[in-house]
Amino acid sequence: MSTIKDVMLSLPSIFKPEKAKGWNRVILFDLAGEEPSKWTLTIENGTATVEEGATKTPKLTITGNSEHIVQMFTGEVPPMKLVNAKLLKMQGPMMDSIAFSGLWNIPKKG
Amino acid sequence: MQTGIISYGAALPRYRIESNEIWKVWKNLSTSFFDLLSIGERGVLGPEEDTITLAVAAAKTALERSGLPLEKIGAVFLGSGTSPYATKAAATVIVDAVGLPPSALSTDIQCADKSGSTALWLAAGMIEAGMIENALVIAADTLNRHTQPGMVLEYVASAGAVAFVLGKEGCIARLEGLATHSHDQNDYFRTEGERFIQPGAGFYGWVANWGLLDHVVPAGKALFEKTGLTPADFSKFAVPQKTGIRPLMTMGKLELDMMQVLPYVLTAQIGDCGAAGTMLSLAHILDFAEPGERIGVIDFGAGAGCDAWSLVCSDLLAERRPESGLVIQLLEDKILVDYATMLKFEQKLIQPPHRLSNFY
Repeated sequence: MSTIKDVMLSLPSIFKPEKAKGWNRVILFDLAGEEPSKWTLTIENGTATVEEGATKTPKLTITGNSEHIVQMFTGEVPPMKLVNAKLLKMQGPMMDSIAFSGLWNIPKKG
Repeated sequence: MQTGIISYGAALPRYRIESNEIWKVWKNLSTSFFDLLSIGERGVLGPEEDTITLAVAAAKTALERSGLPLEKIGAVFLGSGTSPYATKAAATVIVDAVGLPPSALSTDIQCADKSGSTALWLAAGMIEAGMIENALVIAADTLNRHTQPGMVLEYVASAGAVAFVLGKEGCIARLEGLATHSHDQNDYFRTEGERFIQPGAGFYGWVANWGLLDHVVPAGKALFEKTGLTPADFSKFAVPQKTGIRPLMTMGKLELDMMQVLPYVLTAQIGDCGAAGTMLSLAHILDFAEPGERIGVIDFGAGAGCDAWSLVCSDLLAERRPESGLVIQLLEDKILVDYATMLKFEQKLIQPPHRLSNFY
């Protein structure tokens, strides 16, 4: 299984810039679980960058266990399933939470 | 159609207030609604700002970007539900402030939150008919000045203006088709002499959006039928965005893809700009659109109906893409104020007692 660091650092490569034109946001992942850590994802001018730690004031905060984030971005579990099961929580405008989920080329697993 | 948008410009108040500032005073809404309804910040009028000043600022940007001589403008339409005047036209003030020729047909068009959309299509009809060459159309509102302190509408009631220069030559996007659906639905309104808007059916919950789907669905479906297009033929949609619920309802019932709609919803950043709301979303889309993209606009006004229309971006869009005054830059150029300052700036401390809906 991938580590949270692998997954977070891979986000720029699975980002769909054409879906985020004009959608500039700072998103904080505040994670507990197997690999407790914080990650700041900045989406600005169609580019996604990731830094370890809480480095900026976020508009959207995602909390949950690191293993669920790994499952989400590797396509093992659909994002909405994790949110509906309250394994992941998104704090911020609901528009942003839903739009965020459409920004990624998440691999589909059988 | 040959008529289209030659240029556009937007203006927003620089002052903003965060929802938490309002909540600290009134505590009249569960804070869980903030995320649910995508409530964040909303515009606060400066002491000297009103619908006309915002409209003039947006108009100047649009006219400058068009490169047209002012005497080419044959009509000036202001679409607004919050003109500072009850009887006289506000459009004539804009004519003078901008320096447009007095020979231009100027008028105000009041049709709730879709005033701008309706004004745009009336002007387009005149251009298409050959009566005028170019028109300046402005959608502008100051809902914040017309919302009573303590009403939950206060969390989103905002202000803004978006102006369009229309014509047949040099279009960055050509208008394609319009469908509309209107019947009376007496929800958000002000009666004669009232300053504050009454939300007849409240602010949250299903009933708060009473009337939305009754208009948006038939208008949207009529547009698809009339043009032979399907939602998949569009790259993006500008939709009603009083709160974050309305885009979801519109998207769901018209079977639009979430990524065609949600990235262009600006409610959390600026609140409800009234007639300028959907138009601001359109301007934001145009700031980043590509030639050939088809954009859908679904503009709803309570008690006014819904206009659904489409436009297709031309090659000129890329050439004439603005480098400054982008909507995203206007959203980020802000000064946060506290509740008392908002009351002072919006001149709410000197008002007489007001009548309210029984709901709030």
